Amino acid sequence: MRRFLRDNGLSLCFLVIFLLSLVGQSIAGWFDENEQLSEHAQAAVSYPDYVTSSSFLVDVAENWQSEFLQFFLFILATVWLTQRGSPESKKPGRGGTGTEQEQKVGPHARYDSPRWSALGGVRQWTYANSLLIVMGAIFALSWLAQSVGGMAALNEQNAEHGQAAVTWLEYLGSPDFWNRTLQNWQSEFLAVGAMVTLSIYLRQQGSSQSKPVGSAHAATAEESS
Amino acid sequence: MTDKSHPRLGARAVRAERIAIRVSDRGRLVLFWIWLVLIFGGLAVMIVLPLAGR
Repeated sequence: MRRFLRDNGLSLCFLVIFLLSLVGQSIAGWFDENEQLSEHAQAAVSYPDYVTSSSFLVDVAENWQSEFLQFFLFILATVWLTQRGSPESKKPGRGGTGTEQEQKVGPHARYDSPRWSALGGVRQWTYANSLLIVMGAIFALSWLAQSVGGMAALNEQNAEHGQAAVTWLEYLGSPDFWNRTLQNWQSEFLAVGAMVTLSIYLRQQGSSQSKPVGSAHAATAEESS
Repeated sequence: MTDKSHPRLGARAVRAERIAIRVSDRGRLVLFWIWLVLIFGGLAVMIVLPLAGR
């Protein structure tokens, strides 16, 4: 058990703090919703009703989509683009998907390589891009969830104000959809850009996300280890 | 590292180490699937409930 905790501390820690944050968000959101309902002299909603409501789900989905877009773009961009001095980057001039030997695929696969890395053809291509494919799929589905949740929440408000319901396509062109989308995207791109750039000159001793403290500012991760 | 002066004790320690590695490997795969089920399960809920009129 001790070995399991030591080997998986990072994913376990984030699993726990994710679940705690989600529960915290649902409780705070429930109180907020009921405060607003009370201001409008409307009946309060129960906790189960709130956590299955479109207004809660759209708030969750809009954050999920931007996080997964961030990772999707970062994984894709770091195949081709480089940043001298960043521990997140390959060496400048080494952009691209790499040789079969570097990637340990096909005839260069080792005895302990994942099976699909040695098979060639569609299976090898799929496995070689599996992280990007899954991150992209999660982003697309989260964005879809945000759009249907946002549409349902907006239509609920429209019904209360005696206004006509919008269709899904109309909602995709609405200010509400793009305001929710872009306010999340800008913060993700800011954080990634800041991480790439600040880590050129700043260090965190002991972190895998930083270069060793004594590494040159111009060194990338490949050059500083 | 096995203890050559106590071969039976050493063999037991090696066996325990192998079991611990196997449990950790299995646990890592279980964690991977927990994350995937959590994410895709959450997405299914977030897509289906609003469409069902919640």
